[in-house]
Amino acid sequence: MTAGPAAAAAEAPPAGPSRRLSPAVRRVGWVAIVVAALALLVVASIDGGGAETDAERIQRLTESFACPVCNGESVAESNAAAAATIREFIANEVTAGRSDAEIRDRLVDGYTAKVLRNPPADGVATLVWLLPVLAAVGGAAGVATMMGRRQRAGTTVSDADRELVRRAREALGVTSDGTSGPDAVADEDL
Amino acid sequence: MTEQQVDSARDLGAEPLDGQAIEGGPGSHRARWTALAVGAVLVAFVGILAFGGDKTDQANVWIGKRVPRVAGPTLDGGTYDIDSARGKWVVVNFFATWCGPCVQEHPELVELEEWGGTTGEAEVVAVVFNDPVDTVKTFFDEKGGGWPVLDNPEIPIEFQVAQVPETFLVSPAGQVVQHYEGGITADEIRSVVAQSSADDGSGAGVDSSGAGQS
Amino acid sequence: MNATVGFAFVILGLSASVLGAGGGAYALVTGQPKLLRTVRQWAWLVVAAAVGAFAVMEVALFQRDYSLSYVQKVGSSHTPPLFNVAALWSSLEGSILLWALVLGGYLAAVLVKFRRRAADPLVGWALVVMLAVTAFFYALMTGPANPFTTADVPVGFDGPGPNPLLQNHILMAFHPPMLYLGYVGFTVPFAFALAALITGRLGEGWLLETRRWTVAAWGFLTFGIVLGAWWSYEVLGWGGYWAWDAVENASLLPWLTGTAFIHSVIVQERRGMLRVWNLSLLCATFSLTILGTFLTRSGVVESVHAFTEGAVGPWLLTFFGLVAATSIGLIAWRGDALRSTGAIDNPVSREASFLVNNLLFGALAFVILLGTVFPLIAETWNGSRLTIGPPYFNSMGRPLGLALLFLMAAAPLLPWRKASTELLSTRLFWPAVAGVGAMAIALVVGARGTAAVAAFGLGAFAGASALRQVVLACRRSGWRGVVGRTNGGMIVHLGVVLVAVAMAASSSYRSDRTFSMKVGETVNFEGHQLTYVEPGADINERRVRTFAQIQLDGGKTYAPAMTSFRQSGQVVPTPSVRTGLTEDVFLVLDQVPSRADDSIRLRVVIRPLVGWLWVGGGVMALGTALALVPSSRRPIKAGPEAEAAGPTDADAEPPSEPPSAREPELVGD
Repeated sequence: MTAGPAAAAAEAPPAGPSRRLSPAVRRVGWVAIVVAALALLVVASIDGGGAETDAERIQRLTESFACPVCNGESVAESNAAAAATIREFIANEVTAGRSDAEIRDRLVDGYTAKVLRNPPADGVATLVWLLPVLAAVGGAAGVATMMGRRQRAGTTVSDADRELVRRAREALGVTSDGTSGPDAVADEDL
Repeated sequence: MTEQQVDSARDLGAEPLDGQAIEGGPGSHRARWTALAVGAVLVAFVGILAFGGDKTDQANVWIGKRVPRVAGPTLDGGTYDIDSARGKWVVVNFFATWCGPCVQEHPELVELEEWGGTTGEAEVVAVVFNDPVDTVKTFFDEKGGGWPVLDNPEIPIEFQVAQVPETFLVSPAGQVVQHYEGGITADEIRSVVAQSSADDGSGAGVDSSGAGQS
Repeated sequence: MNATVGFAFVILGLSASVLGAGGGAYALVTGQPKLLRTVRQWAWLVVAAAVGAFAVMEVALFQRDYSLSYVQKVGSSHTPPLFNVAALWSSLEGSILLWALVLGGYLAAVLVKFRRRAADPLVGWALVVMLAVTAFFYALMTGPANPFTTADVPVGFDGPGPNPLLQNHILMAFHPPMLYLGYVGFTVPFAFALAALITGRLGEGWLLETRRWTVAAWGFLTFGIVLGAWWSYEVLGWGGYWAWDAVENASLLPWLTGTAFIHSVIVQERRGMLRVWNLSLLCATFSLTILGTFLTRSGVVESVHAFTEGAVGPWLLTFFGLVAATSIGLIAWRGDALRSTGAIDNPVSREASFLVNNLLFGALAFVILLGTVFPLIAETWNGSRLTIGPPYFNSMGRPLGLALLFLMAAAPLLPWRKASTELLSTRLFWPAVAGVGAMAIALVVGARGTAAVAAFGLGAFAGASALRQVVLACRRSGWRGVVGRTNGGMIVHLGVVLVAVAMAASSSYRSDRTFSMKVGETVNFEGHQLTYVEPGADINERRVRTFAQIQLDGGKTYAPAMTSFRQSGQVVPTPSVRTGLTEDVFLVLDQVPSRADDSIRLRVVIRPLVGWLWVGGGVMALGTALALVPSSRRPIKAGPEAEAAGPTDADAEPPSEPPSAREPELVGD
């Protein structure tokens, strides 16, 4: 299984956008790629830190409320007068030292729960979070069982088979990953 | 239908092994059952789209409610408190100078102010909706009108004002009698006042027709 | 006069549709080839009626014929010619008229393409289905969406013109027609899918007939959606391009199922699998276009884009129900005979990756449909009113989007049936290096946030992978390396990567502030210097534009404005945007400049890479066009002979392939 394509690649003239690497180098390369990717993601997730300033708090709060006259736009984004009024209201309340919950309650009192941009996680609204997860799990399980069954039922490919394929390929003058690119095939024109 | 897709995905699992097509035969009706299940979901879905939703008129939820507090400093340096107007009709008007219909209804408010002043039965108070103070002052200098004007974002939020002009007619007992979304005319306000006063002398009557105009 | 002639065309279209569909169905059931041939004549009449009705309405708009109530509603003597053309579809009735015209165009194209196969039952049933659809839209125009109703004309009347937001930007003249070309285009594959179900010719024949049509419709829909986002950005003045608004979602739903179909159809062609699934996807896509039209025009969900009239709602919902019920019924009837002939051998293979792709697109469509209609469900349930806003769609969509990006990187490099680890590690190596490199660069230039950085990495991974395929294909076949479905598809992938990266950057690193400024004042924001030079006004008989000259970074001045339309009295903000390679500076006035001292409230929004969204959209459209160019030198076998081969699997494999193209079939066999 390891011999096939690599051997073919070694015999073929260098082709494709990648210069050929030896399997060992590539293996080390892959480890490096995975480690680097994880490390970079960890660095990316590091927060600037520090306590939230009033301005940041106002920004966060205005982003969490929906403009009552527009669809989809937050109070922070919207150009509507109603949004501007609520922005001013939130800024005043934050300066006055009111808590997030107090501000939220006063706005919901007036404009109903429609003013919340994120549906609450209680009551009937839990369904909107739950149903997609259930559907996704169900769908994934369906696909997974199907593939599992196939794999058990399917015939396995022996190294001898692969060798045969490789010979046949060579006979046709094709590399496993080269100029005649097995993966982009002419059958797919319209 | 997305449900359909999700369900049909499961259907894929029913494909016979080794690529032989099975025509008929036991256990091969999965597509049919899936389709029927999807059909049932579809019926429920169309039912909700057709008959779902809460059809109560949101424009009139205010009618009969106690008026929220309208109080604070006014643009001309005084103070205002709606509680001190108890015993009078109050026209609470939300407006902005950039809003065309607000500019159009301004003369009507001027007329109402004069009428209220002469009869002593009513007064007008306005609340600015997202407009710079000096623009509003200039506007009043040009167009007239001497009623108190407040600029405090809490008030439109208490009243759930989303678009101006919006006007609330408050009875002498402090109840919201009418709620107008859009411009008003002096005549319609006067007729509501006249009718309410005729219905019961207390003036706390609620216009049962509830024809809040929009 | 215009009203009479226009309505006569509508009646003609309705009668011809009904007679054609009814006669055709009768002829097909009873087997009367002579009668079947008359369907073509009826169909041409339907086409002529659509063109006629459309032309009459345009003439009426240009004549300012206010005896038509529709012209009273959207016409105005001050509307410039281009917007006057576009005024036709700026309101409900006209939009149905445009729909009918586009449908007529597709009908004509089908008539021409299949002109030699009038006797073929597959084509016959497809025409019957299309005529049934046209019958519905003409019926709408005789009933609740009649564009040719008349009205009394007050003396000296002049109309308000189209909605100000619609005559504010040139894009509005192109966005709806593009969207409709996409929406309506799915009628053709849907008609053939139903025809295949009815005739029982369930092989791959009907698929081969319609795949070009599907790809073309998908391309138009893609372009239409991107233009819509662009319009929203340039006109609506909130600094964003996508608000997860019900109507935007409605356009995205058929796009998602259509995208899933375009991918999974390849599996059916190659392996004969997923037949029920593909039929379901096509039927779902067409049903969703009707559902989207219903959501837009019934007022059932709130939306900035909604046409507020409710009378057509019940009609569209009924039609949606009929379409869906017919599809489901036919699939229930035929589905079990549709059993596939192939099997998935290995989870790491091209076909398995397409399956996962479909699962992800299906999940995305499910989430968006659920979120869009959920407020209605909740309200029905217990009267609670809530908003399902962008945070919901973003948090649900983000993981699915990232997974799709990963799949987009890996899947095109996978062979059919089975891939070896060795093969994968060779092919994916350099794309993966590109991905990690992109993450490192992003961090160096200051990007933070796991999701965004992951999106850059996966974007580069997918982009490099697509680029690799294009380069390989070009080395192999020269300029033909960029045409054909596979190669064009890779160009589309490159466009998707641009869009994904632009979306991740512009939504993660947005900064936004509002400044109160007096004339001559300068403010600094995010390294930019903004000076309020002077106010200004630009007045014509149509509108008053009050603008503020803002000098940006000591260079060019920009003029965000508030435009007040005289006829309607509406005031809309007109943003001014400096688009750059790395970031956009978006300027918009929060309110009309103060009349006392000309002071303004200027909102400044800075978003990186937004411009690349439109570039990406263009690349996607270009890729779609390239995908429609035949990639091989051999003639495409189509026409009677190919179809006569019947519903066998042989249909899936075009004949006479060059040997090398056969190669992947050997892998793992």
